[in-house]
Amino acid sequence: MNKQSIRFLIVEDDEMIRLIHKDFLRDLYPESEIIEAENGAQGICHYFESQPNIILLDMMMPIMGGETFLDILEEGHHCNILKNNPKIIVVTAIKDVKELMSIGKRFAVEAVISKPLVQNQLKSLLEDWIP
Amino acid sequence: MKSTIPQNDDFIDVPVFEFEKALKRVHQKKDLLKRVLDIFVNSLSERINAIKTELNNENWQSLESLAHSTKGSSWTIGAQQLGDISYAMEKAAYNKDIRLYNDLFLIFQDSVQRFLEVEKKMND
Amino acid sequence: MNSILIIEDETVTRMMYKNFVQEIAPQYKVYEAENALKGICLCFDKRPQLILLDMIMPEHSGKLIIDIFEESIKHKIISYKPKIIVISAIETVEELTELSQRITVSSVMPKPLPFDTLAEILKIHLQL
Repeated sequence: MNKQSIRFLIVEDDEMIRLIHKDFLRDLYPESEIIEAENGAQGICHYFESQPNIILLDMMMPIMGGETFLDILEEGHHCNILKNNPKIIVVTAIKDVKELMSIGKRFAVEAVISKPLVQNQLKSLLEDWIP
Repeated sequence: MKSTIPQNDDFIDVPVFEFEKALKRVHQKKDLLKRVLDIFVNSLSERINAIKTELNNENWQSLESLAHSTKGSSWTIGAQQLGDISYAMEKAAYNKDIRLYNDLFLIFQDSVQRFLEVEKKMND
Repeated sequence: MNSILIIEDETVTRMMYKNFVQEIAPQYKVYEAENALKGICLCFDKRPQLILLDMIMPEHSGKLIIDIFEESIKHKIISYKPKIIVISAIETVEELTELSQRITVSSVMPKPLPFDTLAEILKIHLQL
């Protein structure tokens, strides 16, 4: 992936937070495509339909949360059905350390960041992955 | 978890609205902050109504989710006090402590008023 | 490639359905998933015309599949619309009504499902 072809997926139920994250990404990578999902169910559909490279994933969402989203991707990877190798940044208001640690160990999760997300945190991570 | 009745004073030292911090977080983009604030302010009455409904039904799962989501949004927007109270509510819901949740909810509603007053002053 | 996906955790039941389907509709390729997670991945990967879905499965129920498709169709973010036939031991009338009202659910069938009934259902939905 490179700056021109990168595709992001934001999975977040809070409209306000989605707006901020989208703005952060647009700022850092103006030529990128940014797809939005309000919950894990929409997120999974967007994932399979568009194969985003990088996913910003909230954990607690109505209808389907981040846990199940991760379960599905993990199974897809296990069965060799995934068409790409996504990188997931979990952005969450969960505070329980044990829970955060276990999320960090999940398939494709590269980082677990506490809300509120600060643009510089994103910048450092993304700079490593995107030349 | 404290077993005494929570008071407004417990949260009095927590900033109501850290506007400068919030502005810094969105890289000084006043327009973006305004848009985001509008969404948040408009969501508050719906959140309060949802909590009232779920309190009637004693639906702990929903009460926890509602508090959790309000916590995240509040902290993101710089409404530190609201966020902290929501966090306390989330823990109360997790422990199914209806007395505590109710008490905190009252403090939450007061805090919402304070936030709205501060936010309004920013706009003037 | 025309295909049918069977999502069912019980191995024997799944084998039975696969057998039936291959007999009734030999021109369709049959895919299998023993859980809902694999099921949803196969749905998007293979885009089957028809999905036979068990509701009661350990860890993740058939509801997962239905929720994902319903959300995707409601928000117009999916390019394909599968037909789902729920085959499940439904306990109550409410359950039955609720399931029948979901957008992607075409039919709700009881378990155990007689071969003849499955044959009829397939003929109707696949226009065989």
